[in-house]
Amino acid sequence: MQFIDVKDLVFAYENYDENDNDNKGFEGEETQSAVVLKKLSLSVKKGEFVALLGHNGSGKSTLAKMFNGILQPDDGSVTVCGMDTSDDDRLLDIRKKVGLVLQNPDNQLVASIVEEDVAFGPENLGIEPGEIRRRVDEALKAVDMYEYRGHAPHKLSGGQKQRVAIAGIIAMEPECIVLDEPTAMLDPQGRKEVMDTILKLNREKNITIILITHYMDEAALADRLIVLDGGEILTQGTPREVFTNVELLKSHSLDVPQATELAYKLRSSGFKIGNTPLNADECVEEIVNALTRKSVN
Amino acid sequence: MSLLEVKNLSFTYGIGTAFEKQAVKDVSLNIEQGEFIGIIGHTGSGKSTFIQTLNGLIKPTSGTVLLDGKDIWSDPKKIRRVRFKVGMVFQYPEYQLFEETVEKDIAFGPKNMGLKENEIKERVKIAARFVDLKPELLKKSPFELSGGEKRRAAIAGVIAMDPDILILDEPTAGLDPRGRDVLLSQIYAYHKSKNNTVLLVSHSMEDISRIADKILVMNKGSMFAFDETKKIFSKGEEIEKIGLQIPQITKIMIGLSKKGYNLPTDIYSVERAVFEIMKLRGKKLEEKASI
Repeated sequence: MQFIDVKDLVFAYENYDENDNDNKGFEGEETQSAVVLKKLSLSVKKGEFVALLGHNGSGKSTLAKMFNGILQPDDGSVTVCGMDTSDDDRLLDIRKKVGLVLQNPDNQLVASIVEEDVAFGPENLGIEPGEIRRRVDEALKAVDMYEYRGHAPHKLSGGQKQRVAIAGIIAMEPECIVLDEPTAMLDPQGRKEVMDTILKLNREKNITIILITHYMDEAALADRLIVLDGGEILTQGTPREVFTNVELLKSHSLDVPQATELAYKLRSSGFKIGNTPLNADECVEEIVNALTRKSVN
Repeated sequence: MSLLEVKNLSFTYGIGTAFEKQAVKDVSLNIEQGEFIGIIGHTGSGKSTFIQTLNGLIKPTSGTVLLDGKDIWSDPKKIRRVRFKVGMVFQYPEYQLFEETVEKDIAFGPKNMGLKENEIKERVKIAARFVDLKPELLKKSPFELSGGEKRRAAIAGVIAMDPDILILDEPTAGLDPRGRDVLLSQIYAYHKSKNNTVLLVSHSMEDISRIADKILVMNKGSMFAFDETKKIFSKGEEIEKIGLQIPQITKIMIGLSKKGYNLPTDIYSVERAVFEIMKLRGKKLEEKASI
């Protein structure tokens, strides 16, 4: 049994206009049908770091809300550790296992002091005060915000707020965290803070991560990349496998990292590039190899 | 005479309070008619404060802003006129839509300028066309639009005032790559057809480098650099040192030149990088042949 299993998932918004603006694309979209997810199947292993890529309107945010039963399938199923999200009796257990972090940190913080905000989740789970104290401290340390525990959330930077939101989820001790574009509203410094935190949680605490992002450099850090297009899986694999297919991604007007694009273009003009590079350092190394190889021949 | 002259401009928040903070320190620069300027800097580098001094939303603590050679604060009662000439699109402008219909929202600015009814109508039409809002959307409530459409409607509201200078504060924040590309190309096309002056604030060096003639780099309230785009990238390493991200492609070129390859480092497009690397390889092969 996989940690999360999605089978033949179908989902449509009943009234497209009223339900969810987030799932409308940039172009206005009268032409698109209201079916957002079309018989989609995937699974996620315990401890895995999966990145979901795709345009606005590709269904990724809708999918994110499926993992802990905020939305439920019209057809097909979503199971977490064997528990079906459409089973109301198991919903609380599922939500204890899978936490969700959203795009805008300002919409997720509820209390006027950082540590109270982090305590909100565990308090609602009916956990004992002593245990809550321990969890809050540990969660804040995990995201490097312990020294800010007495601060007011509205005075923090975007990256700090988002880390507090993540701490609020960690304090519920979930096995999996789903993050829906957590860095979209942050500056480069804030993005780095949040990404470092996500990687640390995945590697040190073995928390399963499902990250939805538009940033290719963030997606390149994942174990596995799933690209969604029009409610279906366009392609998936390790970041290197997916990004090697530059033409497929470009034809769906998706970005690839510049390092990958450069290597791709050099390769098609006769350069011998071995591995597809995902970052600047790898790319430099590949080009140096190719250039020296040439001069040796 | 430059269109906009900024002289020794400084601004300090909360003077005399515990929160006193100098946000902009002694910035001087000239902006010419028709230039497309990219502005980049950390959160807290003073870029938002700086642009707000340009249309008189913030009065500088010291220094002056000259528009067409005239101090914008020479008659504080007429500061509103400056705002018609220098249009400002804030971050997440879609939060500022408020009218009953998209059409009325776009017309709000021109109306305040005291234009005639048919002139306003014409301007709304033109502005909507620039941001590619379909005519049938104009009669809808702004709240019925998608996120991307809302943002374009908000930008159209500023364009409809036909400002000499258009300032946009992170207009692509939160959009997906396709939305970002579409919006940037619309802004660029607008700039080209009007030949007006555009100032665009962004966190993305990659976006800015594609369209800006010149780039202003702000750091800790001061002007770190202000120069032509190409020249800014020849300072790639210094810019990285102050903690700003340079395009990955520039990093690669710097990395290669550090390994001893004779390559230019002021490169910010993949196409140019391919060209330079191919040229280098060609030379190497020639050398081989001549031996």
